[in-house]
Amino acid sequence: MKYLSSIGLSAKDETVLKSLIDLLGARTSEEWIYRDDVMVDALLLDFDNSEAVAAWNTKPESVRRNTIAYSSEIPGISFARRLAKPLRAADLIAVLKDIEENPGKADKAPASSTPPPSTQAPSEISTLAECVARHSEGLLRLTFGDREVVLDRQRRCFSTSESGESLAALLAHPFQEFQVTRGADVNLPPDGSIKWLDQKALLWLVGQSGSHGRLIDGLEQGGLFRITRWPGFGLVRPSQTVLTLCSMLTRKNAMSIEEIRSVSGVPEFDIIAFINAASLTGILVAQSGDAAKPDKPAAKPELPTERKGLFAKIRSRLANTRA
Amino acid sequence: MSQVRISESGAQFCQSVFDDMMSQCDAVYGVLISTVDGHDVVRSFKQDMPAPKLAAMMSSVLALGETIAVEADQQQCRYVIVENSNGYILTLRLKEKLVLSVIARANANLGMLHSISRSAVEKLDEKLR
Amino acid sequence: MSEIKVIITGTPGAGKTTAIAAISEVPPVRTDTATTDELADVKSETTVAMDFGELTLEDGQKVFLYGTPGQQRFEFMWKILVQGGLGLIVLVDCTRADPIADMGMYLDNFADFVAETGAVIGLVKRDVNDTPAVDDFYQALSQRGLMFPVLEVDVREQGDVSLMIEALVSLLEFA
Repeated sequence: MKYLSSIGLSAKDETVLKSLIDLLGARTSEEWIYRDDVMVDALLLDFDNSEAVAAWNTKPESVRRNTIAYSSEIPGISFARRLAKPLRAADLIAVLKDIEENPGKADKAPASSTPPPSTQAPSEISTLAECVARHSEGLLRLTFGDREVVLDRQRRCFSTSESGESLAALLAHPFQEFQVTRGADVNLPPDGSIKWLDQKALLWLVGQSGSHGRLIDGLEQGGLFRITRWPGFGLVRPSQTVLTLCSMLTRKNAMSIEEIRSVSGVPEFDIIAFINAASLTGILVAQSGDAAKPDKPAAKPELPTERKGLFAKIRSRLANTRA
Repeated sequence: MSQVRISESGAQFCQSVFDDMMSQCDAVYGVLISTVDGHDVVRSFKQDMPAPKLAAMMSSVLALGETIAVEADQQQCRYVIVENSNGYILTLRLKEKLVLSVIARANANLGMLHSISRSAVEKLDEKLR
Repeated sequence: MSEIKVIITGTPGAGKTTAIAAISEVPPVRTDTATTDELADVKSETTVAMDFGELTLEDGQKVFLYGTPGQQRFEFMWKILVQGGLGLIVLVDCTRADPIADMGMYLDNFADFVAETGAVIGLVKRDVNDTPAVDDFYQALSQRGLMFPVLEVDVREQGDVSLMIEALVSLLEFA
């Protein structure tokens, strides 16, 4: 038995989806059931709904795996599985069968992708985080349809057509889908007509949304990392995953991505997004993994299960108030 | 520092009320007027006690007493009494922004303490502005 | 089933009572009385014993939220209220003369409790010009050998109060 859920669908689409699932019968190898209260095997994301994309983007990798991008246009190229609107039974069956046969099939920018080692020459820019990291001076305009962000590195500020969650969703699009303009080619309207905000809020979001599982150049996959302070979250409320990573990375001793993953259970994809965001906002301290090995600290004692359970319950309770 | 000020004559009147209380009940060895937010205003102690700290504590205990009364669906907290092995501490509100606290040894009669405290509040209430 | 306590302290007028009211499931219990000192210019009432609110977890277990009086003369209440507490939230009013010294005063007074548990610093009323930068608070913490989250918050917002408690829980579990 396999489970399917959805994010951001209209009421009509959701009804159609549930009806189709009920009618699938023997047309798929396994029985599929629509549920949103269990760990699902497939997730249908309405890619035209920017709030839904932002919400999806904050979910852990374990939830995001096997996401099917559902859109009226060609959805983000980073999605291995897509469905065009309107929803049709044949298309749905095809994509569900694909999930049955290739449950681990990676998207084009998967968590498991290995970034190039930092010792190599700078690679071609493949993520928004990398693009912004390399653009340390002057103006940078990122355009996506009629939506845009302008970053002024000189004045350490940015302006955008978007608000918090919608900006996060915009920045989650694959880098290749943005039109990028730099320096003198960026024509700005008169200064008084633009609302400028502190660039750190944007840099944090670029790291969080625009990393796609790849560390920016100069950061080693096997390196040790810590942060000098908690980030200013700015426009978007931090997820529980981000709070966990903040706590772990403010420990006195730096940690490797693998250590962070094994202790916290946070997927590598999200750890890399955090590290990139910390690097872009200037709060990251990175050490070479080799150089730091002699100082490796003793592991923090494991908390009693009862204590962990209590913390989980408090988080669960508070998640409702922050929704 | 509290902005509640008692004039010299007011302070003298308070002292005379305190003296009366101590003469009516010789188990009383301390009387303190403080503000509801915990500043001491005027006092008469027969032994050394930390007046600023007591003033803050009395405001807490009276506020708690009044709040507990409301939570228990009771009205108009009159006194908060702390009864100890070797004495009593009785606290009651005086006018809108003051607290009267009476500290007595265990040989005091509690009814007597109530009576002289209530009577003192009436006198002070009338005189103090 | 044991009760869990989260303690909220901080400068008078920082919004401890407001924070508890923002998130508590029950009308908060207050011990407000009239202010008779210079604080009267800022607010007409102040907490003299404690504020109290509560949250209920999914299995019925309660999380109690205790707000302390802010003034140092009520230090005795601080010691009473932290007993058995999960952790501390310190609210710092950034319109006051020296907010970093204010933070330091609470960290000194709650030093033993904080060493055993952890703390989150909530900066309130940041919309003034000449207030220290967030980095200055981190520097002051670092000089004390501490690393706690310093969050700019609006305690009237339930989500911001929730964020401080979540940050505290993360800190206790993972830092």
